[in-house]
Amino acid sequence: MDERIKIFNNIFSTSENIKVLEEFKEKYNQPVFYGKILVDNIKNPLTFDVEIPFSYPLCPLRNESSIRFYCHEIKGYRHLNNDNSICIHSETELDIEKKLKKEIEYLKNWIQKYYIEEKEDERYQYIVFPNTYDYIFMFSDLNCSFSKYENGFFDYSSILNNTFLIQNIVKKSGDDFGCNWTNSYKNLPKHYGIWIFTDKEPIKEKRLAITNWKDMETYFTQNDLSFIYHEYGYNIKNKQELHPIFLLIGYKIPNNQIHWNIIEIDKNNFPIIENNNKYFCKYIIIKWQETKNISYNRFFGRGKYSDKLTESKILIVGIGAIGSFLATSLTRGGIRNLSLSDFDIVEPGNICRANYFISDIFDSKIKALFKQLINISPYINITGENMRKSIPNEDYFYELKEKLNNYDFIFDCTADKEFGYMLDLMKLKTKIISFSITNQAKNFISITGNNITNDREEILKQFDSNEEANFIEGTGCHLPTFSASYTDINMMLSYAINLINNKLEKNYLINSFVITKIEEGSSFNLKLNEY
Amino acid sequence: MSFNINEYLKNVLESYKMKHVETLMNNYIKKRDDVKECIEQKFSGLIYNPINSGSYAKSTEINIKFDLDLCVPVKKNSYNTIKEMYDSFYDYFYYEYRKLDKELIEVRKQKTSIGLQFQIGRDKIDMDIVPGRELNVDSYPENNDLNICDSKNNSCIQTNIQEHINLIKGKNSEREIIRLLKIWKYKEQFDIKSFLIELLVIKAFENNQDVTGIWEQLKMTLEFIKDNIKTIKLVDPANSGNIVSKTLTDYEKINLEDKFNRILNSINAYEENIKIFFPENSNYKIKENSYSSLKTNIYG
Repeated sequence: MDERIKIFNNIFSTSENIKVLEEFKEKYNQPVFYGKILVDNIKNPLTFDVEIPFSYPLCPLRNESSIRFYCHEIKGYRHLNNDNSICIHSETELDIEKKLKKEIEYLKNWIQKYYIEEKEDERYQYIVFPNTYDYIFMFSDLNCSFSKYENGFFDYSSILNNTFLIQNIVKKSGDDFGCNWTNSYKNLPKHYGIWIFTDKEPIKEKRLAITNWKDMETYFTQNDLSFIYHEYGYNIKNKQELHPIFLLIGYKIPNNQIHWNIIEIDKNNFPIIENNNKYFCKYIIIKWQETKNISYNRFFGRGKYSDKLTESKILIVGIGAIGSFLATSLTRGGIRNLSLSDFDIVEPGNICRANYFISDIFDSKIKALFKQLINISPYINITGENMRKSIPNEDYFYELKEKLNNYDFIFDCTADKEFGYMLDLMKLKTKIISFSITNQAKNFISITGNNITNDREEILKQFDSNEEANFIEGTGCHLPTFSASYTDINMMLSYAINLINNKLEKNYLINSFVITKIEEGSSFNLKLNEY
Repeated sequence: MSFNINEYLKNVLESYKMKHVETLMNNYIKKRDDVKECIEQKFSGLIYNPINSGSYAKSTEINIKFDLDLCVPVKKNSYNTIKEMYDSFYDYFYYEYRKLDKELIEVRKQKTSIGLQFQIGRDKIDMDIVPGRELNVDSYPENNDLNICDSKNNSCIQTNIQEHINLIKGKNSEREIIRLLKIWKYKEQFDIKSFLIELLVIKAFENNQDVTGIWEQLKMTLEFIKDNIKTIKLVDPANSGNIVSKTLTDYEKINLEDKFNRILNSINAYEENIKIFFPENSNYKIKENSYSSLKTNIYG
């Protein structure tokens, strides 16, 4: 017998107010030990089925709790999951006895706090739904308020088979309030659903959602039911025969926020019936679907870049190895306005070190990157900037100068010395940051200001790495390219982006700088020189 | 050939001289004179003779950024309020002058001036008109003091354009350093008022009178600013209530200190690094352009 079973039985049976009803043993066909306990308390003794994984004291999966306490006698209490287990986040502890004692302590605390005292948390706990979901609907905070029992239509679009974005909430008055997605999402084909704003959460017991339509009779008003019944009948059923009908239910949650839950209505078994102008609900299970508020601050909160980047208009010129990674990095950092400029197409040889895929081959780099970036952020507006090089002898130079002056930042990732020279000639007001690397990624150079050409030549004079590109793909008459891997480039580029973001965040000036890889025996260091 | 830093700095200053942009300059001066004439006609009896102000009047201009501004001294009794004066000049340019001059493409209200933008051929020319009212009846010819309108804060600021011009009259060495720092400022896109640069440079020279040679003087000034920028209080000599050093935030002062420190260290380590911070205007380089074929091998 596993030695641990003895420990489990011993610790539970000697713990105050706990009685072991069924001793621990291996559960048939499952990788857990199972036992049953009774926990005495002043409100009402509770029976728990206890499951401890074979991997104990390790959690079988990351982010999961190791031990599980199931109580089938109560419902809806705070931090009671929809499988009736207590939500427990146990700390890492490698000593079995210590760990189990801590978890028993946690169980008792939970009973005291959430079962006996029924304490409200400082943080809002979302409603618990009993069923599994087929669809997920995402929304962002809307710039509008609602009054009780208001209703109307909403638009939603599919971004993947089962994933939808709520687009607009349309009020009866005709006013519509859109989630602030990027235009690429706003322009997706739309479907229609209906919404009702209520004054309370759709809950039956504590935090547990209403599960049967019958109980909706008392949750909704007659007016609400009439709205659902008629709008469904007249406006939706015939228009969208191939799509399910969705009903959004909105209500206020703390911090002046609004939350929306969603119900899928079965068209073949419509839950509402009418009799003499009165509306009743059938006794059928509600199919709740998942909703998620992905407002900008929630979506990017944990890793957003400085506002000075995210709220700026940024142009990246050249989206090869450096530019494509920069674009994805900035997008993950939450930038809202990005313009891309490149004339090239994706070649198979690009994929090993630039952010492109096999499916992008022979597509324009702009198009390929655009697809990726809007797949990262629903908030980024991306445009393409078409330009060619010019000198002050032609009108185009001045037109382009005016256009470029509209950006807050231009990242020149072209490594095209002529392009840098043109920017110098323009003396733009825009902040220019010009990124390039030397062969083998020995140096990463970032030049700021409007004298790129001069500065880069002067600075690089001091570094002994002026090697010519020497990689030729196969045989034939190709222009050689530089050698450097994805990580060679991005190790330095990430450092550079981090440095710039950090400086902007702290209001420091962005200087020109060089990051140099210095080999030291079997290892290497990165050295930063700022100017 | 060894690098001569003083000679280099002289070449830098030379490359930013106005003579390289003679056509533009002539257009500019002509335009300013036209505007001046129109103001004199329109506001005849209400004003004294407009005076040239801005960097060109002070001889601290550089050919990539210069202002030919006009200050219009207004008689005390011409307007009831400073605001009324400001608005009447704005209205004149917006409603009347614009019809006379098709090259005027924009009239905008700025903090203390009315900003005019002209399109002459391919060049856009900016000109600021600063109306200012004498403090008392007939006091302007005696003391040159004026009240100018702070249109953003709806208040007025006392100033003395003539005194600002006189401040650097005859200070040739100081002017060279001011021009170098302005070259640096535009290259770095560092937002510091030119007037503050002027006051800082004058102060630095006052404290270190025996330094000679342009590089030594520049170095002395950079050191002085780096060491004092966080604490120094510099007031407008024409108005002790206007604390010019406050136009930089604490962060900007730290940035300036950090930047000047880097400049000094870089040049100390390798003298030719001065080319990074004080580059020649590549369009008007004195010597043959050494970068006509770029030598570095860079990739992206």
